[in-house]
Amino acid sequence: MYSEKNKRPCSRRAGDDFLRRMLGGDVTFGNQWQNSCSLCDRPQERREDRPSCHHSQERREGCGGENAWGGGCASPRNDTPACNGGDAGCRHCPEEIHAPSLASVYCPMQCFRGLYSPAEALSHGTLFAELKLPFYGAKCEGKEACDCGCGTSNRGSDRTHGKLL
Amino acid sequence: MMKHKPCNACRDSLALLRALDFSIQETVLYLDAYPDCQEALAYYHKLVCERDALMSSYQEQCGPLSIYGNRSKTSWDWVNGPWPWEIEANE
Repeated sequence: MYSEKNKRPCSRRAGDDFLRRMLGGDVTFGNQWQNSCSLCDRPQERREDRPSCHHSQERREGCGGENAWGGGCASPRNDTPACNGGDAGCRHCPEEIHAPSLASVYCPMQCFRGLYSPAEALSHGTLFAELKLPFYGAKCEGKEACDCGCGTSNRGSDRTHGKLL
Repeated sequence: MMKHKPCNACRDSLALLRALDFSIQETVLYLDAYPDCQEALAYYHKLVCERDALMSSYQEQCGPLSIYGNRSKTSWDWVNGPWPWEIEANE
């Protein structure tokens, strides 16, 4: 079972801070794909120990990924000694990537607050006011109704596009 | 076999018992995810205490809610209340 000792959920802010920094671009991602250029630039590593440096194509992919985030590597440098061959050096790639990854999901920590009374909780389907997320379905009546976004039915709000078929 | 129809007070108590059970279940789910939350644990104990008291008084006055709640030493009251699939048990 999940357990994080000595931390109460309402004071557990590490996850939130990480998320905030990630979305703000302050988090460093250290996987090899994103840092393939950085690996090439590390002088303390032997070139033959770095798989991403053996093939220029791999380097380009790495640089392309970083370049998409504005990390440099826009023009290959032939004079860089960093990588094998030197035809697409990654000299200007940053050591760290300061950008969020392409797709991330997150689940904020829930706090024990905003409780309904037992009778209210049963009628709302949840004990927690923060989790009361009612779904308003709307019935489509004919193709025209659906094309209008199913918002014409008085059973659903304007921003609801759920269908009850 | 004689069956007694639950009175209004019994019906209200049963509704509150169901609500308490639901809130306890919700609190249990929260505690499963956050077992160190003392606030949730205290609330769980508060609800369980209320539920035990209500369950006890309900079974005294309205009959057993489970096979373990037959209070009478002289009659088997379990068969007198409405069965779960009967309307009276779901009002």
